[in-house]
Amino acid sequence: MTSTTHPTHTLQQHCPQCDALWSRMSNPKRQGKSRVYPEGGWIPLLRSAITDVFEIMLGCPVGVTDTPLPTGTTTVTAIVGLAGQITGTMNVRCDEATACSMAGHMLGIEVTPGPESHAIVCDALGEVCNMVAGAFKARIPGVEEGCSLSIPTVITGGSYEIHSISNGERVMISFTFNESPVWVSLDLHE
Amino acid sequence: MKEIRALIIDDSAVMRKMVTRSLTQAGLNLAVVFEAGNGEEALASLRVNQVDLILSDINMPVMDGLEFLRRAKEEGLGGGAPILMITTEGGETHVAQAVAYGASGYIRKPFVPDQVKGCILPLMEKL
Repeated sequence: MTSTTHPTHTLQQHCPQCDALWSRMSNPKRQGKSRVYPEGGWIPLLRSAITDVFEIMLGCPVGVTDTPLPTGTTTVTAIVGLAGQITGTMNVRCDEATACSMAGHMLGIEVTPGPESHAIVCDALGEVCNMVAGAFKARIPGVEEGCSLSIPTVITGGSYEIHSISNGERVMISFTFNESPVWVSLDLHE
Repeated sequence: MKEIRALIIDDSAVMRKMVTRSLTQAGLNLAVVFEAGNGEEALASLRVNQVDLILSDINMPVMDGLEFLRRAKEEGLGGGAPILMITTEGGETHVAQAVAYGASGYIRKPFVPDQVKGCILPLMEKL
């Protein structure tokens, strides 16, 4: 998925609490923050939501990594839109084998990459993204009632980037699931 | 325990399987599990199938879980079977609306099997 891009500045740091890599990206001409901004920022809430979903629903603790987003390799990305008091998207991205592993943990069976497992793998990653987005918004004081989630959309492919064309900020966390990297990004509009 | 006929409503097939597994882990004796991908499919299922328990997501395409509850109540479908909502949408308004339309309980995703057990077993004992 591509769209019009704007010049951006990216700041990459390690989260002081969990050491996960995160980046904040802003457009210098259209810089702004979401209307809601929790004390302590987005990272702890997002990290906590990810940990809960992976530990509770997939039965697997997450680890730390600073692996950069891959280019040119096939990845699967699930996207859930947020609308209301906070507006933007939540993306969960990983390679195909990792998405299969997630589906396998959720179903209690082995899932191998291939055309026959494609639908179930997309379904699983979409549901993971949906749960992370739901758990994330539930952690933002006063927002639960005022933010709706979209039905997940899933993209697969070897070479794509996701750009937000609106004002706002991007927060990205990378972590490991079964020793494979997974990236979660939150693009919030002003 | 009596054999249970359950209807599970969720647009995610993976989540429907996870919920089914949670019911088994909760100790329910499942005779049959009907599945529906949205509220409209669930209404169609209830018109031809008798069920003892309904578990429904809220955020679904075509017809969401709250509209399903409203329509099922309006049409008198479900035969009084308890309805448990399992969803990422846990706001007070959603919960109040679901209860007003006849939901018996509410479980928030992500959930552990013990939560399903804790919510469902008291409902099943009434059957």
